[in-house]
Amino acid sequence: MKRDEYLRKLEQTLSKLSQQDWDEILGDYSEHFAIGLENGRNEEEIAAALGDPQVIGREYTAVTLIKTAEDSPSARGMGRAIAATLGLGLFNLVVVLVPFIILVCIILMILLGGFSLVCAGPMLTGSAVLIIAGIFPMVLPVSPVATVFFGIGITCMGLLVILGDYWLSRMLYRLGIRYLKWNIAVIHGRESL
Amino acid sequence: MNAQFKKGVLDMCVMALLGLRDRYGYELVQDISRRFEISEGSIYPLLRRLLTEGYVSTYLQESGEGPARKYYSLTAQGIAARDLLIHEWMDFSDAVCSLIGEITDEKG
Repeated sequence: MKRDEYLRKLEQTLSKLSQQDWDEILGDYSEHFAIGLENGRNEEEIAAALGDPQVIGREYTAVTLIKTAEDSPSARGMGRAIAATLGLGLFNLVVVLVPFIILVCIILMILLGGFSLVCAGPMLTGSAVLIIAGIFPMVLPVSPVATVFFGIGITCMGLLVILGDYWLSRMLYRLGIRYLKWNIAVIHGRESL
Repeated sequence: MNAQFKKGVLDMCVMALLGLRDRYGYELVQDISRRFEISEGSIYPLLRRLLTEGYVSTYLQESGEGPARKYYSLTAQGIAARDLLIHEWMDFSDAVCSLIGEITDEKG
């Protein structure tokens, strides 16, 4: 492979990075080529010794996007970090994508549960108030006054569940970042050596 | 050489070399390749990681011939990390050597 082809391939796999990262990384490799040529090596030799540009580019992308997701947490940032990690190999579909989908489902289900409780509370309280006021002619098995407070309690419980879910997702986010870093270091880091 | 061995110690080797004097990437590759074989392309991701961790800093310096070179220099934080790594490495390699020594003694 010639210098220009090598740098072009590297460039293509770095498309998700910021302009600054992009410039710096390509700068490092073109400097390497320039010094190698000065030392009397040819372009093919240098390219072969450097290793596959696409593997190198994908690893840079994953490492950089994980760092971004860590420094400024966001669902989108995490999604991009995970997508980049998936790009490192098929194996990651199983060990990254599947656990991630399961965790997202669990978080969403708990959130849904919390919302249901929050909505159920006012309904209970509301209907109990209507019964007390005599607008809604129905006999409850429990005292309507107790039901009013029960409804408020349910709402508060729902809010607590949502709050708990929020803390859970923050904790899982941090764990997820650590897992992605570990994944790169253990599973993919060795490929580049 | 076993790739797993190299993976763990390459950071330390780079930091040890930078502790002696500032070097540019190509130079580091050459200095390490003289002792053991590495994939040349792996040095730049490693240097970038050391940079984001604050263990090294960089500056550009013109060279006599060709383009300016990016020199890497060990920061105070990097020196502390290097000393810790080397200390741990010494303990570990002593332990491994004495363990292997015992096996060789038994055989002999």
